[in-house]
Amino acid sequence: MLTDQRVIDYFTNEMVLAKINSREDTALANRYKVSAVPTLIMVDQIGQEVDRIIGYRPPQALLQTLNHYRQGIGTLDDLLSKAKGGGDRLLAFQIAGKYKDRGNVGEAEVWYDKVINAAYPQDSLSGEARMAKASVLRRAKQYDRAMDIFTGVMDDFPQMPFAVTAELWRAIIFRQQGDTASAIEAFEGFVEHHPDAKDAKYARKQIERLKGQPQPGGN
Amino acid sequence: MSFTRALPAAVLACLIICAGMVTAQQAPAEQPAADKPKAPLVTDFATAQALAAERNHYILIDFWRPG
Repeated sequence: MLTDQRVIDYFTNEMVLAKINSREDTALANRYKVSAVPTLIMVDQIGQEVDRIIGYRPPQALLQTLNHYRQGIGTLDDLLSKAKGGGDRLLAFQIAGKYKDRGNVGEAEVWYDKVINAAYPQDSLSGEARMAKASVLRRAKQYDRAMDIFTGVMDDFPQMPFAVTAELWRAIIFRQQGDTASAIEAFEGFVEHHPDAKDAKYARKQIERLKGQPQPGGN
Repeated sequence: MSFTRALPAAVLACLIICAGMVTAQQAPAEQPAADKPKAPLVTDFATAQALAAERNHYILIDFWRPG
């Protein structure tokens, strides 16, 4: 990306680019609650966040988003001001996503709940919102709450692709909680129910790894 | 200059020309990435802030991790 002529021109004339090693400057990474890389955060001269982009984007799309952010288009502030005029569930979902990306668990939850509570709980946007909310809670280590939501999604959306993802996340949460036996059982269930899923290979690897670990109380 | 004295010089000249041609053929069609011009950047936030204040620009912080 850095060798693209449009990117060179942009960071020569329009914006300052700071490449920060998040392992070395942990204070700055923590200040902006960076939980994944690459994370690009546009800030003003005093460090106030305008907005952020998580993950890779091709040069043209990246520069377009940055230009929008400079004009105040599509930022969290922009979406919040639109929501004051009423807004809809999709707007609420976008706002929740912005808070999620910023690691603001409380606000993300509030806005995902607006999406979930404003309609029939089994419509697909509600399902997406429940998945995203569970993901926020899991990252915040609120494992029990996340587990309840993933289980609910599996029950309410048995035919939707994200129900498969929910089943995998349940297994991962068991592993994160240190409950090896339940994690193995859940990963095995996943492989049995979805042997051709793209994550089945990952699940099999987890089973192998967990079975290789010493079990609590074992010799 | 006699033929026997001129021959080594001619061979040497030929070798230099041939080596040049081989090198030119082996040169990659594109400039290696390491030699290409890159977007200007700084690696600490304080410097970025100073530059941004001087130019009245925003800053894009690109958080990365080695490996």
